[in-house]
Order: sequence, then structure tokens, then C-alpha cells
Amino acid sequence: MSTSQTSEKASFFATTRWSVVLAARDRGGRDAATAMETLCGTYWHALYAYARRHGLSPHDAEDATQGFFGRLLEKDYLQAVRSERGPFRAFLQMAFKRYLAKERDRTLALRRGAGAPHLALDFLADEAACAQDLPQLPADEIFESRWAIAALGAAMAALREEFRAAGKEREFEVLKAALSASPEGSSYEELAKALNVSEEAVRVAAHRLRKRFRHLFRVEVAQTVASHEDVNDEVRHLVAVLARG
Amino acid sequence: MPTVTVHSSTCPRCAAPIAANAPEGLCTRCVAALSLGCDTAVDGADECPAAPPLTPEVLAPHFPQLEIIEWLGRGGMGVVYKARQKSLHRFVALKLLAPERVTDMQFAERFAHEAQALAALSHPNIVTVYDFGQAGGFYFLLMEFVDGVNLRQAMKAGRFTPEQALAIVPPVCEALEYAHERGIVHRDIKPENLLLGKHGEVKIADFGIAKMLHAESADIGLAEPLLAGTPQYMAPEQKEHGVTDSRADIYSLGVVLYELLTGELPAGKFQPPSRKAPIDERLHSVVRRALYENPEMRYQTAGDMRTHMETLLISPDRPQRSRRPSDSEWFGTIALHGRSRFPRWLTRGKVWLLAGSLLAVAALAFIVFTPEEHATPAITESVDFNSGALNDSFSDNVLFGGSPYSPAPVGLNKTPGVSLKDSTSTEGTLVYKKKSYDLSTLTTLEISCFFQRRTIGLASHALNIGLTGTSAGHMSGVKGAAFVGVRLQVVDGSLRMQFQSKAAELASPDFSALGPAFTKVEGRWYQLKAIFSRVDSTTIRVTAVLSNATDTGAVGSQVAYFGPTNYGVPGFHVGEIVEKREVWAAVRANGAGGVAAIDNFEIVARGANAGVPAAPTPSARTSSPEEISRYGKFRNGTRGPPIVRRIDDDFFPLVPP
Repeated sequence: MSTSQTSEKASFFATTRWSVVLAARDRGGRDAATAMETLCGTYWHALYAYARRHGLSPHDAEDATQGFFGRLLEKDYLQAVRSERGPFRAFLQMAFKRYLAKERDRTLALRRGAGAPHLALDFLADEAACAQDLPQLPADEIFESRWAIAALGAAMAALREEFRAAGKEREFEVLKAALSASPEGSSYEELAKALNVSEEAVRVAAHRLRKRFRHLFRVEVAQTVASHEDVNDEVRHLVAVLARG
Repeated sequence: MPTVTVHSSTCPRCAAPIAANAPEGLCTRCVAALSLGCDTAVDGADECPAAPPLTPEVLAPHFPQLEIIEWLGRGGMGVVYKARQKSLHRFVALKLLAPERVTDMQFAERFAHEAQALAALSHPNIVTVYDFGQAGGFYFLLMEFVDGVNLRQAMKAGRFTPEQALAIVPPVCEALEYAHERGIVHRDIKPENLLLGKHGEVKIADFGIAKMLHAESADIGLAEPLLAGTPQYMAPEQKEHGVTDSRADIYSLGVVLYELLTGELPAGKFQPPSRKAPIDERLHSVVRRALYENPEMRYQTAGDMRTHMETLLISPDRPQRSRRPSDSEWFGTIALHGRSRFPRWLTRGKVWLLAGSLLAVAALAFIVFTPEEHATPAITESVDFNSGALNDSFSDNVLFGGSPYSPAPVGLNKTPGVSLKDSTSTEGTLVYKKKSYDLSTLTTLEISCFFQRRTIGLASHALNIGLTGTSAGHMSGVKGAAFVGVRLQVVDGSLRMQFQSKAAELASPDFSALGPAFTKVEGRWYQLKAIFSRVDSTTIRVTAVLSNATDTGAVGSQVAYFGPTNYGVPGFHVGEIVEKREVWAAVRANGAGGVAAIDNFEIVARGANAGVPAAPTPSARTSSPEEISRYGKFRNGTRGPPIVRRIDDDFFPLVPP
């Protein structure tokens, strides 16, 4: 294994939020809660979409998602998580299904009771996405699709942030189109004009952008698995889900 | 609930709607395909997440001439859909080349050039390209639809027996040879690209596409360099230097064969397959020769490889143990693991289809090999002429002049043989009269004879061995006897093999096309062996081998090889021989055609009731004629010229010296 791979592996271990959550669940440490909150903040979209497809109204789905996170972020809940290895995605989906089953007959609104942690989630924007979902897709596929898009979104946000930090946000605004555009055709020509550089320079920049994006996506996905060995599997899974559309 | 406005737009690349929640408003499928895909391309196409499959609905506007039915699958090269061509009411396969593989500006030109070359290929074992072009931002190929599975899917159901491998690989060789002769190298032979149709046919897909997608121009840093091909199956020179010629395909096919037999890929200094799995040792030589690191050491043509394998198919001299694959061997995996073992697109119906295809392959192997399985020991009739009396064993059916044959001390090993007059005014056929044969009860009937060469005189042919309809028959072009035979035709001072047949009421025989010429040394001994077997009531299967021989009667390396070829209606009158309950083995030599002497005439009958005249027993046959004609024909005599090949001296000897 090369040095770069080793250091990459080390960094995955150091920053894998799901592994932090799992490792700290017995102690109920603050790190675990923070890690969990970050994960939930990124991936709640998948839960909301799942709840909507499950038959809940927008309002109830919103309540269910908030209520579930409320439970999840309570200290005792994680202690019940068995330490089997598996991605955060699988854990969350399973836990949410159980939660929905349990809560079906209860007034979900009551679960948003006083004292429960409340995440700032923009349900309205997500409802717009739900309206676009193909009606024939089963809830599980909706969940996976949303999850994958969330991971993609997190990587994209990280990429934008890197450009912003370097004072190149405008460059990102233009270049990001290259992430979803074929290398052939006129698209690069337009990008070159917009940035006032040569087409070849755009190609090089686009190549670097993709490479960086790929890396950030891996880093993001790595947050949701328990160990380095699982990263490739999860990346492959998510890319396959995205490819399915 | 406030009203929500959905801002929907479509992706400029794939035309699919972009979801409202798509990060940065980019099409997530295209981002995945272009920026996340192929992260592990060097590990092969299987590892490559590849392009997103668009729904048939999204594609439909771009292909008005097609009704796009369903997405079939993907490979490293692109995505394939099943479609129906509206005008011709036929199913077609629509292949969209993976856009992330399109890496350079010259692609369009190269695509058109290659596609034209591919469309010109017309071979039963190559998936036909009907059309190509650009639509909806994709480069596409419209191809023949093969209803079946690919070899990878078939392999998941279990390891292949040598018999099954021997049924699959030779047609692939034949197709490769055809394409190679036209200057087209596949470059990406692997199980995924070998399709098994439900009628048992084998077809190569994706010819030349690897070259299309291979950026030869300088990469300006757009993407990581892409390998044209799949690393596990690539020849060393292809992998290391990107250099390919037809011999790279031979290497790749060698890897496929190895994998078929062992279930594993050869790694480093590979183990001969038989050390991995108990298989026919003779296949070692095929695998070893295909997998030589140095291309110069490999088979130089796919035809050589095919000939070698077909030699194994009919080689009677080292009978191999063969067995019929049991149903559980074939279908156990399916039964045990159900659908979950199969790719997404492989629905339940397709699993049955897969089963059907495997059954077809199994049937083919069964048809080819079962007779050996049930064969009683071969019954051999041998005449070494040592008694000196020709008419003890033969009726010498002279048609004109006198008999050219006379017992003389000119045979092999300094024992008596039969010398021939160097004259065109004598002519006769020696028919072995002590036993008759019924092809319908036999697996194969081999007839062989040694002969000594001399200067070719005025005659047009040298030696003919075969079967006649009566013991008073002959192998000449006059009315009165049906026969089939393989003869050595004299053409411009050299010899060429040829099959001939004749109906009793006709005077003129039917001749197959001539094979390539070979010239042999005067004074030396050779053996000509012809092998006949009944395919159905109107078809006979013929193989012949010409081998070097020593003066002591040992058979050495092969000089030329003929077939196996099926001959039948239309074109060849063979019915009287394959349907008759009694036919006789015969030889006709011609002193003026360059034969000085003959010796050691031999008939080997293999199969139940070998050599005993008996009523035909249709139940003894394992399959209906329809099945055999469907699966059992490697090459039909009416489809093209027979294949006659020169074989190098270091080539696999049929019989060890």
C-alpha cells in the first residue's frame, strides 16, 4: 500500500462519524452526539421522503422525521444499537422503519414534545422534491435515492466551500457544469469563454475538479461507514443508486 | 401547507428531468456517471459504476424509428436496450456508448470509421451491426438482438465441462478468424462479450468497440487514461504497451477458456487447468499455447486454435472419459440460490431462458460426446497385406482396363504391401468385403490407409477412401454405385483434400470445394484417415487427417486437416450411404496420381454394434435429427467451402509418434 493510501485510510478512521458514534455509544459522549447530529443533518432527506412514500402526509412526515431524530439523539437510544458492522444508512433505515411502526397509532405531533432536540430542517424544499418522485418507486428505493443524493450534495457543498475559501467561488459557479457535462461538444467552449481562459485550461481544470469531487464524495461516504474496508462497497452502492436515477 | 413551486429543468446531456433537490442544480445521474463513475476503472468493467441507464421513455424521442422496450444491461462500454425496429418488425439491441469513455476530440471520426468496418462484418458467430450514429447526445450502435445470456451469466451457474468448453470456443475462433482476416481485432474478448443464444448459437458482441473508445490522441488531462480492454483478459503486450494485433484476441480467448475450465483466472505463471480441476489433459496444450506471453509463440491465427480444439473433439486415438453434466450440476445454482444470484435485469423469465441456453449447450455437448460415453470398445479391422493375397479381404472392382493393384514386397516395415501401376488405363476400387457397416448404429467409422508418394503422373487424383453402397461398388464417376469419400485431388503438382459423394443412379459425383494445397516428399510414407458419422437421414459428418508416417508404420505429425464438415442436401447425395443398413469401406488409389504403394488398411468402428450388420435402431440415437441439425452442426457443407488447414509440424499430433 502506498503512503498516500495509508494516510487516506488513517484519515478515514479519524473522521468517520459513524465509527465515532458506535465507539462512543456506551459512554454517551459529546463527540458521539455531535457526530450523530451531523450525520442526521445530512441524511434526514431520505427519511422524510421515505415517510412520505410510506403514506404520511407532509405534515405527519415532518413530525415523524423530527420525532425520530429526537429519539435518536437521546442518549439511551444508541446504547440499544447493536455493534454489528454496517453502514449508517442501513442502520438508519432499519431504525426509522421500526420507529414508524411503533408510532403509527400514536399522535406523532405529541412526540415533538418539549425538551426533545429539534433540528433545523427545511421540509418545504424537500416537499418539492417529493412531488417530483416517480409514483411507482417503492419507499425503500426512494430512501436510497435520497440518501445517495444527500451524500452527493454533501460532497458538492464541501467542494463549493473549498473554492469559496480560496476566493474562487465564481470559478466554481462556472466550472461545476463540467461535473455533469460530457467532455465532447460545445460545453467546454462555453465554459472557457465564461472564464476567459483557453479551452484546454478548462479541460485541465475540469479534470481536477472531478478528481477533487470524487475524493470529497469518498470522504463523505466514509463518514457513514464503520471501517475503511466498507468505503468502497458503500461508494459503489451509492453510485449505482444514483445511476439508477 | 404553503404552495410549493417545483423548478424543473432537463439535463442538457441526458435530457432527463433534473430533480428539484439536485445539488447545485446538476443532473445527479450524469454527475455520478461522469464524475464519480469509473473510479476503479483499472479493476475492470465490473468495478466501474458506469453511466446511468436512461429510461426507455426518456430515450424514445431520440429514436423515433424504434420502440424501446427495456434496459438489458451494461458493460464497461455502454448501456444496452432491447428495442423493436418498427419498420422491419424485428427486435434489435440498441447500444449507447458510455459517454464517460468518450475521451478525445477525434472520437466521432474514429467511431464512424470503426462502425462502418463492423457493419461490413457478416458472420453467424458475430453480432451483426445494423446501423450506427449519434442521437440524443449519445453515440449509438443498432445491433442484432441475441435472445439469451452471456457467458459470464452462464458461468455463474457452474463450471463448464471440457465438452461444453469445446462446444463454445471453436465457433468463437471461427468468428475471430473471419474478423481478423478483415483486419478487425476485437481487443476485449471476455465472457461478457460472448453471447449464448437460446438456440445454442454462440455470438461475439462488441467487436472493435474497445478500439473505438480508446483514445489514441494525446490525452490533455481530461481524464485518467482509459485502457481499451479489460485487464484480466488482456494480452501482456496489450496491457503493457497498448499494442494489439489478432494474437491479443487469441490470448484473451485463452483466458476465457481457462476460466471456463477452472472457474478462475490465470495469474502469473498459471497452473495448467488440469491441476486446478480434473479435466481432459489435452486441453492443457490449447490453453498453454493461447496464453504464451510472447505473441510469436501463441497460435498465429484463431483458425489454428479452432483446428486444434476440433482435433480434440474428434480425436479417436486417445478416448477421453466424458460424462453428461447432470441436471443438478447445471441447474443446482439456480435452484439453490434463486434469483438473487442473477443481475438485476435477469428476471425470472430470463432465468428460465438462461436455463434453456444452458440446456442447449448441454445438449450440444451431449450430442457430441455421448456416443463416446456409451461406446463399446472400438472394433478394428486391419489388413496389412502381409498374406499377399488381396482378394482374401477385398473385392477388386475393376471398371476398365486391369487392376492396378498387385501384392508386392513394397509395404511398410519392409513387409508386403500393394504396389500400383503408374497408368491411367487401369482403374479399380478395393472394397473390404469381410464386413459391412451401418452408420446409424455407429458413432464414427474411421477408414485409414498408408500410402507412399511418387512423382505425380497424368491422373487427376491420388487416393480416395470412403464408403460404397455395395461390396461390388466403386468410387468412380459412373452409374451403379453410391459412395462417399475423401480424396486427394491433384492440382498443379500438389495435393488438396476434397469430399465427394454420388448417388447410385447418377454418373457424376458431387465435389466439395478444394482445400489449400500441400506438397509432400516423394518416396515418403503418409497416412490418410477419413472419419464418417451420420448426422441425420440426409447429412454425413466428415473429418479427414493426412499425417506423416514412418517407414515402420508409425503415425507422426499432421500435414493437413479437413473438417469436421457436415455434408448433405442440398448439394450432396449422401442419403444412400447414411440410410443404408450395409455399406462397405473402400479405397481407391491411383498410381498415376502419385501413389507408389499402399499398406495397412484399417477400419475402426466405434459405437454399439460396431461393424455388425444390424437393423437400424433409432432409439440408440440420443437426439432427434432436428436437435442435431440445430445444435450439432459446426459447419454445413452447403454454407461454404470446407476448411482444410495446414498444420505445423510442432502442432498437436493426433497420434503420438
